[in-house]
Amino acid sequence: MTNCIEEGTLQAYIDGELLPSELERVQSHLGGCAACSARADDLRATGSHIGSLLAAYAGPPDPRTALAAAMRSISPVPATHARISSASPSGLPAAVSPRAAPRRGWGLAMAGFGVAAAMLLAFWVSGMFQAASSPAESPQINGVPADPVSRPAGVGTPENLSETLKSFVPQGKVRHLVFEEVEEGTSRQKVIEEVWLTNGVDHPLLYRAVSPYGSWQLVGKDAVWTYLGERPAVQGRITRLVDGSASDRVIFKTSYDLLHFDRYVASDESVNNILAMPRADTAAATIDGRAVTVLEYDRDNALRTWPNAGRTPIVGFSSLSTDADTLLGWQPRLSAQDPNSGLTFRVAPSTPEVVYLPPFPTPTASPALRVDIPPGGWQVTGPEIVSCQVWLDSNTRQVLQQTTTRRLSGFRIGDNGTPVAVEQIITESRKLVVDELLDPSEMRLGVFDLAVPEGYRVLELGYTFARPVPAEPTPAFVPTVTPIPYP
Amino acid sequence: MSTADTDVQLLHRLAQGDAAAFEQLFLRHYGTVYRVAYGLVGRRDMAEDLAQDTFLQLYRRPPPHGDSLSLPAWLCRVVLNRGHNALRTERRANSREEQVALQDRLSGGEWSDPEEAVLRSEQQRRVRDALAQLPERQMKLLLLRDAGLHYAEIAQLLDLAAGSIGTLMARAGRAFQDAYSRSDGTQTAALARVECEPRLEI
Repeated sequence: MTNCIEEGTLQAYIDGELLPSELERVQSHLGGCAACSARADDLRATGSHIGSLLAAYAGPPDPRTALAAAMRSISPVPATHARISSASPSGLPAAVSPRAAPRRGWGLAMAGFGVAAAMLLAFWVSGMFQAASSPAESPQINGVPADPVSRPAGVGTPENLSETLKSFVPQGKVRHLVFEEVEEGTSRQKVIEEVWLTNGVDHPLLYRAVSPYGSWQLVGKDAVWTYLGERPAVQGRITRLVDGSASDRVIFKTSYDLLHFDRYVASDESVNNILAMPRADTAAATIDGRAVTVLEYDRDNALRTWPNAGRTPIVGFSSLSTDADTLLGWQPRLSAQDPNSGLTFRVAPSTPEVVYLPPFPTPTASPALRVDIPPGGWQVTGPEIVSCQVWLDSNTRQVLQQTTTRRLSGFRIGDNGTPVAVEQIITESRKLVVDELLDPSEMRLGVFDLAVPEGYRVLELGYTFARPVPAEPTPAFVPTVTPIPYP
Repeated sequence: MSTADTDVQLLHRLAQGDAAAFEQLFLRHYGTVYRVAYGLVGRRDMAEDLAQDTFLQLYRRPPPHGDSLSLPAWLCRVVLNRGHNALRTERRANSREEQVALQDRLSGGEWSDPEEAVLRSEQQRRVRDALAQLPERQMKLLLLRDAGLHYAEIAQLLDLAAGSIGTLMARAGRAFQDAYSRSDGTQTAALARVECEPRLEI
């Protein structure tokens, strides 16, 4: 028979993928063409056989069991440690507003490891768009029910944040980073613990990341500022390496949703250091003089590259923290205890809640460095500052840089009445000395004003404290005794 | 909270923080995602991890509103990308361990019932071998059709012309049948084939 049906069309016919017009033509043809009917039967039998084989091949496990595992992964967060000393016991407990009906516990726990040789403090407040909260609404603040009587047993709330700050949390998230520096030979690595808390409205996530290498790279300072000047990085962080090299570190982090997007800028020397890090994929980097291939991992740890055209060497890296953790084999813990305060906190199974077990710790003064953040200190008024970080060298106690990023993003109503996206990012930095920060009044460096323009709503607030690094032990004094011979 | 909610409705609810919507989506599509993952990697534990990671991505970063792909297609794309990355990482990690693991898999050791293990492992081995012998595109064609994706979606995921899918699918089916018929020996190429390019997915 002429005009027999092409095999692909027959296959589409069997798979139900033909358009109605084609379907009619094929059916008509098959009715009068034994050869094509036989071919169609063969294709149908083949498809059926393959389908049965594949179905038997991959019998999935019970999806409900898998779902339970997934839900555990979604909320695997132990609380974090941070050590904050406060000279003001009155800084405790500033409860949430009686009007507030918060749903989650969140907060700041105390931890410490001896005397602090130094401390790193960063703070950021990140604001995003949207309409202002209606005063009539009961804000869903990250926290616990305001009424102590109705507060569930064992659930606490961080007492260090003021009402003012909390009032901006209702639709937002709180990010808490802890940086711990650990001497290891002549180099130093950082352990990063990170917790994101949300109110469950926008991104009901809560997780923690611990990543020895995943979020840090080594950079040249010049490259950092070149980079900062070229691209509107939301955040830049610099700290000095203590391994004797001249390299610095920086993280550029753009917060969208709850994912990290980290970028790093590196000098040639730093790139070499990066390549020495135990990341197999990073080792794919190539260096050709000063032209360094840029590596970037997306959140699936996929890799993409682009040349840097012989300019300041740049190494880019981005990852979702949980992916980095997966890569590093990190497993979340479900509970933790502050060795200093005895505070135990745990993550309630299958719920994105951190439950703080009483007693909530009373801050105690650190002999090395004191950070005093009274409840009233967290003023959130003023210009649209949304990010600020202060970096201290852990050994020298020298403040390296303060980077402040102002970002205004959101929507305004355009001329035709439709929403128009608006974003403005300004990054500023200045050198600081540690004495500034040690001055109690300057402790408020970590306090920034955030004026929320009408029509905007803060979606993210965060603060970061570093854990003090144990000081080098003071050598014991051993007197020298020299016998004086008799004359 | 009707179970008859469409994927779009559930995604909308998920965007509002509705965990129940996530659960419904999970239960609705987990089997599909798992089968694609298993077909790709041929390992139960790995497939479970990939499927779970895929749904975690759905939870944390769901497809944007107005995405041209249906949710099953989007999930398949994610799990394929993740599977490639995982295989790439695994290959780099330790080839010797991989060989050991492959032998373990071929021994059918993951089945607790010995009789079932024998039967299942033999058939599984043959299917696995047959899939492994296919060109990557043909294997994906079969897996994605098995996942219930439409030709247009398969074409979009695999960057093929939609009009060519029927022809390619017929060839893939024939190739699989041939490979399956030949796979009565012991040769395995399970993971050796997968030398994947880095995958980007935003």
